[in-house]
Amino acid sequence: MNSLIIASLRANAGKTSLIVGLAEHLGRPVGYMKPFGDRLLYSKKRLWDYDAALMSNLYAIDRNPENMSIGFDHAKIRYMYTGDTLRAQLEHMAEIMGRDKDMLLIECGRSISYGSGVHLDPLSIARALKTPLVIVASGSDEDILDDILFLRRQVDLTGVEIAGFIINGVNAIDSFKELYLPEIEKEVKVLGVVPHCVELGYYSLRFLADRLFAKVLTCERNLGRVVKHVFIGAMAGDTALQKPFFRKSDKLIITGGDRTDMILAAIESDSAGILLTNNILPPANILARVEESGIPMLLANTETNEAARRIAGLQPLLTIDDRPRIELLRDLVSSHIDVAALTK
Amino acid sequence: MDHINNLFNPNSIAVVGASRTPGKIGHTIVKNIIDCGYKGNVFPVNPAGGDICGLHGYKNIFEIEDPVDIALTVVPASKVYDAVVECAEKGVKYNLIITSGFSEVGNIEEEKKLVHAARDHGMRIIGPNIFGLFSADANMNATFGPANITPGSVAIITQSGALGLAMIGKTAVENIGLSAIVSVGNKCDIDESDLLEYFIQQDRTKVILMYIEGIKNGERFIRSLKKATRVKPVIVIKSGRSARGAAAAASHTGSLAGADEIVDAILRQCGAIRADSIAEAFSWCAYLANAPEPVTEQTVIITNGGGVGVMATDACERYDIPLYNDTETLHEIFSPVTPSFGSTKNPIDISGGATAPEYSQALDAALNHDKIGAAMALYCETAVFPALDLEQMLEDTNRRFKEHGRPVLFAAVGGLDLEHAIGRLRYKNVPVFSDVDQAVACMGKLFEHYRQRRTRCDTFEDCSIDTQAIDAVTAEARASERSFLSANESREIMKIIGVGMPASCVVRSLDEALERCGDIGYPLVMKVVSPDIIHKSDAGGVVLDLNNKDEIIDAWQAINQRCQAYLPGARIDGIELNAMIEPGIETIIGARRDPVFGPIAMFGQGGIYVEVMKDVSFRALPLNRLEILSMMKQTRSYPLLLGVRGEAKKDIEGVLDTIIRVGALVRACDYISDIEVNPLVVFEENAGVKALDVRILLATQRKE
Repeated sequence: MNSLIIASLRANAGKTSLIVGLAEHLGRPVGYMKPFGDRLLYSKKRLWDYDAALMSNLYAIDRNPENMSIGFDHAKIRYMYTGDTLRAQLEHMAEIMGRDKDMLLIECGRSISYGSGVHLDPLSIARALKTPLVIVASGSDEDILDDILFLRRQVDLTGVEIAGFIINGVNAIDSFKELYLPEIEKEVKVLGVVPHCVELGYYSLRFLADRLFAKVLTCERNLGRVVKHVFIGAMAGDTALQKPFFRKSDKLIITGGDRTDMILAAIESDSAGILLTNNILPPANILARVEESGIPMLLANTETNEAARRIAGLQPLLTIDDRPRIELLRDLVSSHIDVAALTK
Repeated sequence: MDHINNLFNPNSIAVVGASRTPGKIGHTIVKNIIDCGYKGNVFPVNPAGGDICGLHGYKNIFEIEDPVDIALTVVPASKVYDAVVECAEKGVKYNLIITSGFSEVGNIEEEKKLVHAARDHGMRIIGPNIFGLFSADANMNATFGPANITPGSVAIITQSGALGLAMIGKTAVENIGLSAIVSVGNKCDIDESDLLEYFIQQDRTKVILMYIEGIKNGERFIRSLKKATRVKPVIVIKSGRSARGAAAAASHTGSLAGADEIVDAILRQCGAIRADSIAEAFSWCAYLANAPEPVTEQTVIITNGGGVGVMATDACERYDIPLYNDTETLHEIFSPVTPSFGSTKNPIDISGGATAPEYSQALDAALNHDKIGAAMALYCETAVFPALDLEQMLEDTNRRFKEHGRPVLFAAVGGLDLEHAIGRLRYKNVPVFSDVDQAVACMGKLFEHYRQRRTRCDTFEDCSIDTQAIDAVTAEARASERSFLSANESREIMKIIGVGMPASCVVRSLDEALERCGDIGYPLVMKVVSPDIIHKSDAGGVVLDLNNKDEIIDAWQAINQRCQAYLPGARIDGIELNAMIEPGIETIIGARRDPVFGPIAMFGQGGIYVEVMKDVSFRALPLNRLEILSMMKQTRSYPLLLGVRGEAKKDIEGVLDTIIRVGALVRACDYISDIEVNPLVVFEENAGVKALDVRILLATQRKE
């Protein structure tokens, strides 16, 4: 059985997406664990990581997702484990999760340092399990360069087997390969450079409502609509209608419930959805018009700036029924990553 | 009481500001006094002196050699103060200030000066802004209202001058005799409580009617009213139902305790009868003044029309009049006097063909049976029983029932002849009405009055409060002029007064949580403590029913992660561990200082929907257990405490005890303005109660 630890230098680098793409590409039984969870789900006294549940469902992993993470909070780890007992627990988990599987994929926390305080950072896990570590780097071209070389040059990697680096989400890939990649490859092994894929950044209105704790005011049946553009309705509705950007479909309009002009403009211009802020409800007749239009309208109690900020930072999560995106990830992995080198 | 007797039976009256000009108030008052037949000395006072209504006019009060018991001041507002001072120096006992233009127009300071001037010499003031006083005992009409007031047994205390004068006129129309009518006006000194104390012991007065708009000294009013209703019916018209909106909504008690809800509850608590209109009030006054005290409330309705019988039955239910329903006995009593096609079930239907003698026999049958306490006779005018035959029959029947000490009343529906007959009968104080509901209401109020006399208990229960300990807990809050106590402080107060709350503590680390969970006990609840997160449940900051350390560990992680996801950067001061309690009935208990009535208590259906359901009732403190139970029974949700749908009865004693304790706290600590327990969860009988949340507000520093 092969094992691989996947970590990232920064948060939201695309670890889980690459893991899913890899698993799809491999097409073989895979096991999964995420020792230090960070996408906590809690229901009926059951606690598990979202990504663990996703992997279990996608790949029919016959292990309980609740057992795929040791914990989510430093306090718990410190309370329950010493260095030795933690290592033992990791080994035990890896043994259970990898049993009868061709490949065990171990996902680390949000960044290279996350979990350091409780010996569950990627380097500690790699040392404990003596398992190769793949590190995902993302960000601006300079960030990628700096992050990788900092790790290589300044961090003690004794006892850590680094299988290589995957550079993910690169915008201008040709320019990156020309200007930065050579410098990086002088010091580390690069397993692949994956281009930025705008489709992967889209999310559904349902996901948005969930993330913002927003109430659904209209057309709940259409919450599956995908948001591709975001527009903050700070101008008059008439003016907005004249803007080219406003004519795009699949856009989310953020505005206040008392801005009936903007709401009506949103209806007229074929929007994916409308997000109202500051908990201001529009009049009943406007609600009725929006309902008729089939456009989901959400109500958040945050103010507009905060809502926009949160939306900007949204990282859409994969779902098990998102086949198009899963296949896209598979194709990206197949096309841009040296999987053979990864899995040898 | 001798003192106030001087007001209603003075030996002498001075009218300061008397006038020789007919039509002027100063003239009318003097004339009314004389024409009514007052036998004492009357001293008109006018700076010009001379003859006023055939009496010698004095230029000032000091010219009067004899003592003056009461003075009526009818001078312009600017001269009232001097007149009051002179009367006080003269030794007048009571000054009735007719003149207006004082606190009712905002001139409060001037009014206060009058009271001080009077009190310096032991004089009392009625008014200002009144129409005067009528006393049947003294044959004294010292008002500027109608000259002819029929003496009788109803005493009226009115805060409205104009309405009071109109009421005098109405009593004449209805032939309701008055024992007294007093206008209290601005109530700068003597108020309704003082007058109630007098009418309680005055033999002539059988019923007291009060028209009030505002109450000044509510706690004293309650005491006086309770004393009065123990012996005589007191009927109250209290206007201003919509005068004031709810108090500040810092507490549910405050927001639910609208002015009129409190008044209504307190009037009921004191045994008073509240009327919504003058017509209603007069109707009840007339009836209660003449009806005998019922020996038993078992009532029969005798009717010659089925429809009105049903209407009366419905009305009896509304007014809580028990209808005698022993069908066998009823058959025995009434079958000899009821045709076979009639009915001997209550209402007794003697059929539309009944004549006056047959009707009279049926009524006598009721009168002669000791199981029947009262009778209502309903009459529909028919060809065989015309209105002209009714009048004598009703008069005779009424007399017979009165002689036997049994209440009776009549409702009659018909044409013009009947209406005239009703008018004549009512003038002779025969209780006959052209409206069934109006009639039944009178009987209902009669029973209500005597029922409360029999069952009311005015003792109260208290519990001792460690006020020193309370002072210590609240010291910091009071020193820093906070308007509310913190959750910890409130919890401490509950502990001091002996109201149980679930064990609780705030922990700041997982280690501490695991260490303290043993103190709390399982199952327990964890709740985030964060000044930034208002809606804990929305944020995923509440986890229930935790039964072991593993669950606590998981819940700790969940709360922290979810709250940070909900509001990144939220300050989390800790996590509160609470013992989780068994399900029970959620109630709300409150106590607050009402600005008029002082400490009041509230009970009702509790929980988060309290202000939607508004199923609450109020009473003035202090209370006894019976009264508290009566308060609880007023709520729609009370039956839940008795056990429904197979559930066991709940610990009502626990609720009573908590209300007593909470009430004692508010009474003992006058810096506590509100205390509210919501919910107070009530478990099964003998299993106790628990206060899940308590809010205590402190009186602000802005005291008058």
